[in-house]
Amino acid sequence: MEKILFKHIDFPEQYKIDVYIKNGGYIALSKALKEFTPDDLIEMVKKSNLRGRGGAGFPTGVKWGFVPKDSPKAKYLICNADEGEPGTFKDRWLLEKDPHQLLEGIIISSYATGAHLCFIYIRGEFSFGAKRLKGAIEEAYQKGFLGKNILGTGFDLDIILYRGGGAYICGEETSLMNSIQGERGLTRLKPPFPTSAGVYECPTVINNVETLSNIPHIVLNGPEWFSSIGTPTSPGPKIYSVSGHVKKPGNYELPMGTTLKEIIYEHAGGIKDNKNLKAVIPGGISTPVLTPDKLFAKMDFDSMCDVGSMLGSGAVIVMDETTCMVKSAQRMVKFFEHESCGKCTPCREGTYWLSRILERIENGGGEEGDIQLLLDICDNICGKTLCPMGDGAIIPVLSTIENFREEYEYHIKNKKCMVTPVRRFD
Amino acid sequence: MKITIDNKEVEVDPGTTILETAKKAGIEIPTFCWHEKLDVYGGCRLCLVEVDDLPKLQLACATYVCDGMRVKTNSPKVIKARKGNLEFLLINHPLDCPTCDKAGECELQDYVFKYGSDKKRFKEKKRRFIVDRSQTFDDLKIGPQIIRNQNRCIICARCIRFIKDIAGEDELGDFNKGYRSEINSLPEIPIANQYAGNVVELCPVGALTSKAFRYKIRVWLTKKIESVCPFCGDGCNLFLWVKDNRIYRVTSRRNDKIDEGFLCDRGRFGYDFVNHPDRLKTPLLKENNDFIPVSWEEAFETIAKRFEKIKKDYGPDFLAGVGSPKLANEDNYIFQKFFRTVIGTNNIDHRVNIKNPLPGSDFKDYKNFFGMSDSIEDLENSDLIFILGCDMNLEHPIIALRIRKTQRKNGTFVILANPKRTKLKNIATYELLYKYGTEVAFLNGILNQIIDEKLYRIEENKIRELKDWVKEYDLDKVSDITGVPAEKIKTVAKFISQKERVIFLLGREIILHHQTQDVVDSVNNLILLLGNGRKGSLNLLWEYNNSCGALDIGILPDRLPGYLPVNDLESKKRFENFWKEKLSEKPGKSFNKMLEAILQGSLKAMYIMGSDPVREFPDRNFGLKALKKLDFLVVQDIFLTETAKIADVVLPGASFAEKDGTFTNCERRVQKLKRGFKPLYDSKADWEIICELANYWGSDFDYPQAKDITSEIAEVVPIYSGFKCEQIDENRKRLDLSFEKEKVRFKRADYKKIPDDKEYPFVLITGNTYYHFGTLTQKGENLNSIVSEGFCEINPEDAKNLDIFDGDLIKLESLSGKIEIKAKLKGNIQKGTVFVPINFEKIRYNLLMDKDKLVDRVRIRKS
Ligand SMILES: Cc1cc2nc3c(=O)[nH]c(=O)nc-3n(C[C@H](O)[C@H](O)[C@H](O)COP(=O)(O)O)c2cc1C
Ligand code: SF4
Ligand code: SF4
Ligand code: FES
Repeated sequence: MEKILFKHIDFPEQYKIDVYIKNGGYIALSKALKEFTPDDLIEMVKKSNLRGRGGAGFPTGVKWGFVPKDSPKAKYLICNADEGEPGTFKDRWLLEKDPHQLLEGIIISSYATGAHLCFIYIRGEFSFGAKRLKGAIEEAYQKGFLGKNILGTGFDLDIILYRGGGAYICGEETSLMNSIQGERGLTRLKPPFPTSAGVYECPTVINNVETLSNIPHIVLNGPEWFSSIGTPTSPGPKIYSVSGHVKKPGNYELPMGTTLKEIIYEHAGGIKDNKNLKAVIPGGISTPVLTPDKLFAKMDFDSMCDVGSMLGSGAVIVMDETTCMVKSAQRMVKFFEHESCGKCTPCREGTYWLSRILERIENGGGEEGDIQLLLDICDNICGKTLCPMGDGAIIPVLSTIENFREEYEYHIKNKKCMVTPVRRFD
Repeated sequence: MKITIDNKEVEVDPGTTILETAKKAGIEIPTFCWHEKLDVYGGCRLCLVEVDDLPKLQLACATYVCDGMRVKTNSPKVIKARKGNLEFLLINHPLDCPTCDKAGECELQDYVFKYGSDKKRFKEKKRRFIVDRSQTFDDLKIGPQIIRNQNRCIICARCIRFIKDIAGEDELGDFNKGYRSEINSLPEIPIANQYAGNVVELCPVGALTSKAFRYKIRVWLTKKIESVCPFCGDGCNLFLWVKDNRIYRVTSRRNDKIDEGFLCDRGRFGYDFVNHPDRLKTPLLKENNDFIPVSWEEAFETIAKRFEKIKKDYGPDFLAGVGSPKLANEDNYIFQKFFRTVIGTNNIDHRVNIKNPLPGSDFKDYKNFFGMSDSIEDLENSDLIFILGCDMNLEHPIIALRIRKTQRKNGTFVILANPKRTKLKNIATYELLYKYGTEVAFLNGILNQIIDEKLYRIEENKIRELKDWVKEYDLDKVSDITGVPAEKIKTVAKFISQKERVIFLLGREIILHHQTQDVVDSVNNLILLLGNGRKGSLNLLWEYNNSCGALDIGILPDRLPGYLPVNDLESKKRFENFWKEKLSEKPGKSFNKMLEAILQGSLKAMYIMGSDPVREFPDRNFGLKALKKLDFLVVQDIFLTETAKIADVVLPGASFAEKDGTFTNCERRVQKLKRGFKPLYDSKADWEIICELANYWGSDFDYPQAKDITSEIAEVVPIYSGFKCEQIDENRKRLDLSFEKEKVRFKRADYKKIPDDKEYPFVLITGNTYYHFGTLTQKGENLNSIVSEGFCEINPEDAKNLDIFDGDLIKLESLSGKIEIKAKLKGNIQKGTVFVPINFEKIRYNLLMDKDKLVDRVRIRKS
């Protein structure tokens, strides 16, 4: 596949607006503003069947369509650049290396959804990315792509770059909106959904960086073109972030539905030191771990469901035979324990408990019955939390026990890892 | 809509949650974060139930029902989720319930008992929020009255949501995240807003406790007594928690018509004056300038003898009785009956803090004078609340909460017009700060503006007169007098006339005003002018817990109970028939006139019940001089007040906790208070004392119990007719004052210029404080632990010019006297004014006041 999002990713000084324009940038914007009504654009994105790249895969056009047309309130667009899911680093590339592609996507999307103010909520640690974006936003203002009366069409848009404070949960849309409002990053109950009452109680569309970066290409090449890429239910290009025990970790833009095997062995160069593959997490640590027998599976929303996992953010974490799965679960749960917002009981207390038990097992203090207890705690969290993070937090435990139960048993019985040497994760 | 819940069919309206439906069906669903008066939060996840065939359990507190919904609150799945949830809450909870102050009323304890598991599976180390390693318990004082133990907290966020959403403060927050989340105040900023105590009651567990109550007693040993707060006109409903003649704490007895389950800290913590060791214990008789304890008989004998003699020598009008807006209707009723029948005079009043109280007959056109014409609940049905001369948070803390609520929920507009900046400013649409005492000019300015711009809906020919009266109040002139920018007056005039339902709330400044009548007339003019179809109403917010009752019950020199004129023959006959005594038809003297009469030699003896005029009358020198000149003074109170000190006989009355009776609150709601224990020491209920005195004298005051008086009030007092003691609680009725239907007509009200005074450039404003009310609360330790010392609020710019810093000792001087006081720099005080609280015994604010001055002025000297 010809690269789309990454077409100019390594082009020298692509982040500069003149270079971006020379490479064909901002043509889609002009086309969108001058040739289409907002409704046309929403229809177009619906037709393309672009699905959100932030993790949940919700159809973008449908989300846009939820924004009430008759609301007297201001409408907002938020670009979610919080990219906190461990293993994921695609948005970072997109906004550092080709920020104008994102901005162009944002401006078109704002026009389509009726927003005149957009917040880019960028992860606090991305200081370089923030600098790049800030520069790009300034350039766009200077060129008249932002501000009042964009390209003479009468459309106004301002962008506020908002840097987060480093909480994973602030990537979740409702926490993110609280954070933008200057409040603590606690999740909100849904409904109301952001499209009816989001930031400052106003209709708000929130999309991921990668999702928005796709928009100019859909406008330029049409929805049919877009849906011809990838699979029918998950069309378009997808950036897979590959990390862990592979020879060539990195971001790979491939059509949706590329198999795990192809991603790991063809693009990422296979397993490091030619060891054997033990497990793959396909979409960031909130997605269930897969065993090598699932390598045939396609990396798209539906195929991943079919094999009992999720596409998530498309962050492929590869673990070789030297990895202790108990340790890996412990490390992942520790992350969730630390990052839980604390608003709801099962997630706040449950992750604490899971974490302590896993630590104990890992440190040789495992007892009989611990596995059963872990599973029951997971059951008491599952489906009972306020936001999806609670369900995400139990996935490492459930999926490692399901696939690698013998490692737990070994650990508990022998007070040490089944595999040697232990490669450190932290 | 029909919902099936645990096989029970329930009919509910759309917009009902599952939780509400269950309540209706009598089914309990356990909840922690949900609270009827707080926004839905969805954090605790304890209320999960099974809905239809949905695979996931749903929140009962946040899910709205739809027709045909089937809910299971008791299925195996629900039971497991509940058990799991409670187990989660317990894993890190210190299970040392015997040492927890909440034991016995802890919601966690109760739910675990009912729904929890009996197995312990948690073997790990518990999380601890250590405050001080050397302490066993991790208690942290986060406010003068509030102690936090984070280990016990279940993060339901009720406390935070109350402080933020209901009280509108930002002193309390949650910090950190995840399992390290904690509730705290900001460093160096204690949680000390006037509603802070509510968080203790809202907290379902022992995470927040109050210094006043914790570890004093186990709750189950106490008895809950229904009572009413004595610390302002709002009349919040209370429970007194008592044991062995002592109040251990006060909590809210939720009444949605008034307090909605919240109290201010005065009411919550101010109770401890009741058990103060300085309470008067026996009657006292003055001999050679010393008080000696005597028996009740001796005291009665002395009083009867002296009164009798003065009555015989000079006539009944040489005696006078002063009742109290703080005492119960029953006390006041018996008091006025005693004076009207046994003594035979109408020299009766209770308004000791007003320089020139209006004669009762002057307010006949205004039923509104006697309290609020709207109820507190009505505030929620208005478009605009116009607050005039009232620092709502100080004077009526719970009405202030209601205003916040309706602003937040219904978007009600609020206009503040005050001589100082008040707390509600952060929700006000407009805030107008006028110069002290210029209300009439300000209102006339608005009237003129409305007429000028033809914003009224009344017919042209009806306002000719009014137009003429107010035409001189043009914008520039009014702006000049009041200090309010002309543009603002213009905007506000327009704004008011766009609203359909306007409620005017007039406060203490207006009650104590030198032009009370004129201000009220002007507001009425405004209501009339807006006219047709629009509804405006005037509410005078009386300050004390029973101000309205004291007025209603006839603690007035010219009005019998129910405002019947003393000189109206029919009314007189009515009461003569009831009381079987001849009554005087000569109107008596108001309190200020009584003082003058003493100095003129035409008043010789006085009986003061529950008032402390030496501290309260707005001219201390004059008051003291007059009272000292009396031949004979009886003071009945619960402490040896400053007035009591100069009395000849002092009688120990009982506090509100020691007697049955009723209070009538500022919105005219009659409420019952119950006796928590019998009067302490050798004291007696105030009504009882008067009855015994009357009987000693040979009358027949036959009232075995307070409720017999309540019944008589219901029988005799026209506006209280039908109120039977038993009904009061059930109906929680508001009195309807539909007697003397007001005749609506415009009235002329002109601004009286307040003379400038270069010598004494600062206007003196007085009032209550957030933590103290009247003269009583300072007796107790609880509120003193928050604020114990008087202060003088002064504008920082004025202070700068005078080279005064915060906390400096300064002298306030007027022609009448001077006091020394600490300066407190506050931006809410306008330049050229100072505020001095009335609550502190050591701060003799009324030394600075002169009864003949329209406004009191002072100058400031550095000490
Ligand atoms: C715990 C949690 C963390 C999340 N973190 C991110 C994130 O870092 N970046 C992101 O784009 N979406 C994140 N999401 C998803 C967002 O809530 C939201 O669905 C997404 O931004 C919508 O954009 P999309 O429709 O374009 O995918 C997270 C969701 C959850 C539950
Ligand atoms: S599941 Fe975790 S992160 Fe989500 S609301 Fe509950 S505590 Fe917060
Ligand atoms: S302190 Fe009490 S009220 Fe506040 S969050 Fe904790 S448990 Fe809830
Ligand atoms: S009561 Fe429903 S979530 Fe707490």
